[in-house]
Amino acid sequence: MIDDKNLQQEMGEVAALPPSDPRRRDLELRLAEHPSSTIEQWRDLLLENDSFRDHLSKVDIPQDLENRLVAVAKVASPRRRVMARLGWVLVAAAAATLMLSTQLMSRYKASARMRTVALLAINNHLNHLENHAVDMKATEKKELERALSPMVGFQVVVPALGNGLELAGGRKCKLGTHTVAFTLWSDFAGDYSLFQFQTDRFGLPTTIQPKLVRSTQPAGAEHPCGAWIWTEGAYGYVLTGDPGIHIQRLSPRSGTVETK
Amino acid sequence: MGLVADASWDGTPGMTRIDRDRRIYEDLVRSHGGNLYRFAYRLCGDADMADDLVQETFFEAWRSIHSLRDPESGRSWLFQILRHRRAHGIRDRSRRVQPTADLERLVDVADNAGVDVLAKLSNQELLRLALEALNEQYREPFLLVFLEDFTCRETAELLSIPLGTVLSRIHRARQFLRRFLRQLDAADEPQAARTHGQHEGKGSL
Repeated sequence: MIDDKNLQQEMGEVAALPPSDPRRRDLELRLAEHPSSTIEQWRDLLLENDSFRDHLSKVDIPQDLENRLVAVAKVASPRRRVMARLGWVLVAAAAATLMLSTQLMSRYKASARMRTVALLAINNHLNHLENHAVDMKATEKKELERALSPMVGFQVVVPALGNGLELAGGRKCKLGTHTVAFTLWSDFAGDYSLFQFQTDRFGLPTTIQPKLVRSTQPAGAEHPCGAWIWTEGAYGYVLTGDPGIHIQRLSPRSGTVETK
Repeated sequence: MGLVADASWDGTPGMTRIDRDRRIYEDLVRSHGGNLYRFAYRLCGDADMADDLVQETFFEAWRSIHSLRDPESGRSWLFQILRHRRAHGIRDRSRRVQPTADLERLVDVADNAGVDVLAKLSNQELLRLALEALNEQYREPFLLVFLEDFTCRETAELLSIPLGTVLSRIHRARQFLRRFLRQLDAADEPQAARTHGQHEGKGSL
């Protein structure tokens, strides 16, 4: 018997490891320095392993077992024939729902942002443009574009609004926190403000057909203000006018910008 | 209908997915059916129970053959299923009365250095009794290593326990079997041993 209980324990455990295992090789190296009785006991353990293996495997296997097990596949169906397809249907439905929700959410967000920009423009036109003063009086679009572009830091492109609106001039101003190009227009009915902004600054899609946004400003007015908003690539426009003007009659068309 | 749609799934002309599954399943039966039966028999200690367990295992394997991603890992996969089916069966049935052995008392009784343990192992009835007396948490790793030739590391993965735990359980199983067989030697014959085991109360192993 080995006195060292730890060694005995270790031998008992390590004997189950394969001969190539580093732990077993290490133990066998150390055992070489022990008395022959210890080495003998180690050999007995390994013999015992072989004996366990030999005797445990002596089990009579039923002759017809294999045939019976193979027959299982002939009488039953794998579960996935239904489940896998159902799984795919569910995955496809979930993906479609997710895409639809994302699109709806995206549209809702774009719509909400458009409305915000339009309301900012109406608010500016009514309250913050100091009697619609302009820094540069100009009736020529090209002249105004050249002058305004360096001031606002992006290329100003004045659209052709038509409808008898006449360009009066323009200047740099702010819409919310972003710099925009303001141009003043007028006709027989009153003044109009056109703001050109950078689409990405307001998180708007690059192509929005002209859309009319109505407001309740000024409060209590018989004919509140409205604004047209649209985007054409990197730039967007919002056009609003004095209270009482039937802004909807202007109906600007996208593509009115003459690209340079 | 669906099978036609699935045809040539792997580029093999004329082979449907179900053909492929059936081929994998039959390979599993031929390669591992016997081993699983041996393991089940040593685990349950009863031929009929082992037969049922193996049937249930392969039925479940066939039903969920799609979850076998890599046929190379089929052996471990089957043993996992067998273990689950076994656990399920134990929960469902009222637990079989397991023979007991008070380990500490056995150590005292079996203080008989002259016993030839290896010779005892050749007696299958003694071996069956000895395994039956061994708690399942020790029996499983012992059988996986010494009967099924899983490495201790594979056994640890299969049982989801650390390698050190596998080694110590196998060691304790070995000690227990030795002592149990010594006690049987003292009792001199299997019938006497069975009676003895049934009346002495279960051990903690």
